[in-house]
Amino acid sequence: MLWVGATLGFLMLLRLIPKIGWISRWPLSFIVGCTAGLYLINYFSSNMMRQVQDTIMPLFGAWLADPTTGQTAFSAFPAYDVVGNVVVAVGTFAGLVYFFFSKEHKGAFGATARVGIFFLMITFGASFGYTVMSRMSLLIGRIDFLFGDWLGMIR
Amino acid sequence: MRREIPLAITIFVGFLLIFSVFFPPVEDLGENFSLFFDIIAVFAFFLGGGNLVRIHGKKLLKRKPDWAFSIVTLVGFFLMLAAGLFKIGNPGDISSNVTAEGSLFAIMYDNIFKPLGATMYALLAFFVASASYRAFRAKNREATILLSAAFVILLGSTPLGALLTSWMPDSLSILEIPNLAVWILSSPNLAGQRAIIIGIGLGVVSMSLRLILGVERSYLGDEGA
Amino acid sequence: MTKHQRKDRHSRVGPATLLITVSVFFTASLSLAQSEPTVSDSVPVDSQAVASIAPVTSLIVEDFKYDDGEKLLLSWIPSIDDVPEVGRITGYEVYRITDGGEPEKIGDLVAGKNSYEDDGLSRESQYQYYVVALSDGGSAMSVMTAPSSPEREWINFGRTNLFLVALIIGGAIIFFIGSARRGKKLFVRKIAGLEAVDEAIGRATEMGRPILFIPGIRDMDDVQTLAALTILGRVAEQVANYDVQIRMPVSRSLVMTAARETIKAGFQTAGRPDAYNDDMVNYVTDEQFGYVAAVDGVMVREKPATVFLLGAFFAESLILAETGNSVGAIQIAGTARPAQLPFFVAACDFTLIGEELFAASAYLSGEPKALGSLKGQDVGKGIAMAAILIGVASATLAELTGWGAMTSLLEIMKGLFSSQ
Repeated sequence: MLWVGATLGFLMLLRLIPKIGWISRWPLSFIVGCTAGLYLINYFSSNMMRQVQDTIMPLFGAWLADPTTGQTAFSAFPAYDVVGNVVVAVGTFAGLVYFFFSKEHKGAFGATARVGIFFLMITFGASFGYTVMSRMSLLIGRIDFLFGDWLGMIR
Repeated sequence: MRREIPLAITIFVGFLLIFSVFFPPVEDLGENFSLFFDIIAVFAFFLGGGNLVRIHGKKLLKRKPDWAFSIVTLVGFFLMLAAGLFKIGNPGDISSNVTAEGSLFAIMYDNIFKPLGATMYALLAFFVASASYRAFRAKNREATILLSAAFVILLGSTPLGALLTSWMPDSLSILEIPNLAVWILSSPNLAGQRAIIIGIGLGVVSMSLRLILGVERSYLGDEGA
Repeated sequence: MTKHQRKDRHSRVGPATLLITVSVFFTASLSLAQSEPTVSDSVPVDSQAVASIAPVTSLIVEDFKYDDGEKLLLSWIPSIDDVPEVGRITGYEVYRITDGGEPEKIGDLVAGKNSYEDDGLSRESQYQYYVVALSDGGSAMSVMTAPSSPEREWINFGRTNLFLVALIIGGAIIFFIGSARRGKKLFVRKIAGLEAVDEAIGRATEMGRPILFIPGIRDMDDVQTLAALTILGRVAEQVANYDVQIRMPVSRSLVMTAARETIKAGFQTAGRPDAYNDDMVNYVTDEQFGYVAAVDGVMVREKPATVFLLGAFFAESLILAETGNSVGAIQIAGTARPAQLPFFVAACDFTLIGEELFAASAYLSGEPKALGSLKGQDVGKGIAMAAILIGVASATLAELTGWGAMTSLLEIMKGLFSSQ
């Protein structure tokens, strides 16, 4: 089967001959078809289906088995988790409203979209803070190396 | 015909790969196509490498501004290429590993290529500082929210964050900055991430269909040659 | 439905089969022990230790469902001596006999494991398995399974839900593309980052400086690069209209080729094919930071009026965006990598967030067909939102009240959106 790839690769080089350079569009269109087809189903499955399924969860509590008796009983989630669950469900919903293209962001729809932006900004802030911390750790590590291991100024 | 054949290829390959995931005997077609892609990319490198040499060669010959830097680029390109192709300085014969210790390729890679990459990467530390300054000016409501979330996360990862709110009673422990930082990451941050990720999934479906159906076809060039 | 979508086959060890298998196995092992010591060497059975630890029981071999006939799935009930606190069992070894040949060790597992997936098999061969429980003092062997072969399934029914949901959303997109083609007017809200594209290109014209277009650092096998190229097509049309210079250093040879075709098409659509020139796009290097150094150099030397950063970006996102900012360029960025979005939001004038990147070319083209696809993907969002609402409500009510109807609804929702 590798000969298919090699042939397409060879066709790509035909660009160097201006008269038949247009044939190089064949491997290009092959690549575009492959990428579009592969990504379509993979992203649909992992991004859309998976995330929706993960968001489907009980908000207030669940029936859990008692590890000692083995009997199941309703166990209410702590307030911390209840608030967290509600925020995840509402935030995901509102965030999706923000991404709606075919409806004007006005009235209740607009208000929900603004809540969506609120959540997106918290997400950006959290990622930003998290990455800054990790970059700073890298910097501290390098400074430690330079002034400690290398120059021996820090012990 | 110059556009019809490529469009037909895109439609055929695109739909073939979409449907392949539902039929186990052809399920690994995607892997094969990825292999084909790698082979095509290797051939295409001749075009890219050729372009690099042509542009810098032209700049050098015509003594365009900063032509001296082109010498550095071309020497670097050809030296690394020759070191790898002819296995210069390799301890074994021509069949030995290109990155074998002691080879010119490995020496150049470890002592020039890697430190130069690390230098560019290290610039991030300074750019993070300037970007933080820009983000933390809180010029509007959205920026203020971004700033507040980032501030809590940053503070929550330092001993100062724990120290500032350690006086809180146990009943309010959720409001202690390190706990708040964890909550932000696991709840509102997760919600925002999910909305973005679901949106991306749908965006990819829509754009892929536009490409496969030929609604987007600018990558195929003009109608003529 | 279990995680691996297993299906029972005839090879489940029933009492009669068990009896026959055990007697056949013991007879065979006795005769082999006399004439062919290799088996007892490869299966470390210690007669003393056999009495001291119990073997695994109920060893079952099943066909792995929905594959091309390459996998078998083994499962068993761990040895009764496999208790974490006691720690008598140190691990398990899985053995395979192919077509009645020699036993071959195919897996070393830690204590507590109760399954094994055997991949890379042939449909033409018969396989038998047994599992040996190990302890410090010796080992204990399970019974051997009956011969079985993996089977090929032609259709993956486990993905029926994926097929259905994809068909509905894909169908909606195709339907709206079709209805827009027939002339139905479709509304699309304003997207600030895309409204600014015209202004940003106009600015470059006024300042007499170039436009820099960076399509990320990934190759054509990344859908974000394709999104960047579709946007480039629209930008190129405007660039040709405004008669402004465009610079596009790229990090992949294939992207260079595709970008040239794209810009050429844009110039032709604008009626200015003569103004196109191949040098607008040049290849730099595949190496991430080498590419960043080159692009930063272009920014600092040529001081572009407008910078587009659209595609897949990694750690370099901030280096590029901050350098662009420092030379005073208007920057329009967009990526589908959530980790890089905050940096673009902080350092660029406009940011296309995830889905907006993929919608951009349709929006910029203003073509009804392309806009129709945006309406179609909104149907997908509607489905996702409805699923979240119904799913969360049914999960909460099912747990609170225990209503059978709610539990069934929850099962349906979870099943519909299960992905594998």
